[in-house]
Amino acid sequence: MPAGRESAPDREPLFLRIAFGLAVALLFWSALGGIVYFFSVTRRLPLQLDPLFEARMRVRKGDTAGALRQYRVYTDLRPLDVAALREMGELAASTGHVGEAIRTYERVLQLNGGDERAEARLLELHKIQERGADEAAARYGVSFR
Amino acid sequence: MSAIAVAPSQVAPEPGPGPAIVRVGRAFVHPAFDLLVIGGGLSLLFTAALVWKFRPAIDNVFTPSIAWVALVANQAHFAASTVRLYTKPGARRELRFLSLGFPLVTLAVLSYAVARPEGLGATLTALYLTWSPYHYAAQAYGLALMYSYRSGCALSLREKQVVRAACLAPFVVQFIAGRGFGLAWILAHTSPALDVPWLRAQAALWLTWVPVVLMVGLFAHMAIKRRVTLPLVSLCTVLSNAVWLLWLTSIDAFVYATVFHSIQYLAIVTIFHVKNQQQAGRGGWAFHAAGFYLRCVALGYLLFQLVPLGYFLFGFGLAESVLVVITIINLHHFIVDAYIWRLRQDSNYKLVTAAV
Repeated sequence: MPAGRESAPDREPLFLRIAFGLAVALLFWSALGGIVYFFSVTRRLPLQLDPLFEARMRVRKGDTAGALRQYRVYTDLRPLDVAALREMGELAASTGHVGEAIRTYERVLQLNGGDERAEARLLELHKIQERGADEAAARYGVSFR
Repeated sequence: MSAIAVAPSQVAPEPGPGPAIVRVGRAFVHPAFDLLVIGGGLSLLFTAALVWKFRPAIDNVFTPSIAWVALVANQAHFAASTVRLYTKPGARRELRFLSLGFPLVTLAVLSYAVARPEGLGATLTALYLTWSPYHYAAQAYGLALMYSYRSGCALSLREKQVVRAACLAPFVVQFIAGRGFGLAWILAHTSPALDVPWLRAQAALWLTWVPVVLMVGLFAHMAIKRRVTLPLVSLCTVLSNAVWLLWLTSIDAFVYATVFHSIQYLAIVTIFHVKNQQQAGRGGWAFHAAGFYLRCVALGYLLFQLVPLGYFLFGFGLAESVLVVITIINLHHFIVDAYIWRLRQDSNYKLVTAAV
């Protein structure tokens, strides 16, 4: 066998070598894409990515639906993050998603039993919801309760 | 560092009769370094300072520098198992699928989970949170056994079982008492009616002292019956694992445990890498240690900061890109780790037993 060449049993199967090459290429391109994106947007590389950066950015730009979607994803993946749940609850309440805001504050209370701020906010939200139900009942002549 | 196993037929000889000697254990670098960094002794002192009265001061120093600490310790440690897989002599030949095929499988799962964060992403996150305490326990067990054997203190099967139980008890506590993962996660998806949170909390409370009782009991039993004790590094490794998973969690300071676990891992994996390189007769230890560590930091940065940005560029949300990447890197680390530390019939075995 010529020097420097591996014997047949020592060589990795072709499909494994292709798979590895593909994985390295994917990793390389996604990392390169990341570098290009960040250099073109912030002109510096991040030290620690904030998963809620996009959500907060969208709130600032007025895209509340997009921001709420990001908060939903985040809290699905990090269901114990009370601070993020509070932010999401506030955003949901301020954009008229009262039901979602109530459910979010209930999750805050499940995690932080005696959270007085969350209790007060939840009470407020329930009143808003009841008022909404009363108005709707009066308008359509039916009771929702 | 999760599955170290030593061939039973090649255990070191027992010391003869005489007074039991409390020993630090046979160190890789220096007894103080091995005890404090790999054994976790430093983390025990740190926890004492945290619990006593220095919590605000420590938090004030740590919080502003958390991104740097995460980069040089946590993220580098996740990357270290991958760097080790590709630099360990013979690993590519012995672990063909893991080293060549598994990266593509991982990227495929990652991409699907980023596209379906509420379904697969959330499930994988709960899985990694469940697995993580087990990974800590397995690392503690592996290190405890390795130092024990390396220090000429061969453990019987029963003694190994006691050490394993002491290492696994904190994982069991996390499993039954954890919120959003472990038993709570399984019951929420199978039979929510069977979930009794107060019962889980009570059971976890009873198990909290198991590691201390078992290890102190084993230590005393061995000293009295066999006139030989577990090396202090082994004892310290098991107890620090319990402190990380139980006490630091209970005072909402688990983030410090992740740092100490990472430093412990980086230290032992770098030692093994350097010894492999020295066995091959290449260069000095500082060069190899620095080279290995810098590769870990670079790969950690690439995986944790740049890859999520790549997904973001391709149109996925930043939240799912960042969080799912973290989840998948964790799972990849757990799996790779379970293979690269197997000692039996392995080059690692020679490094542990050298000059015993």
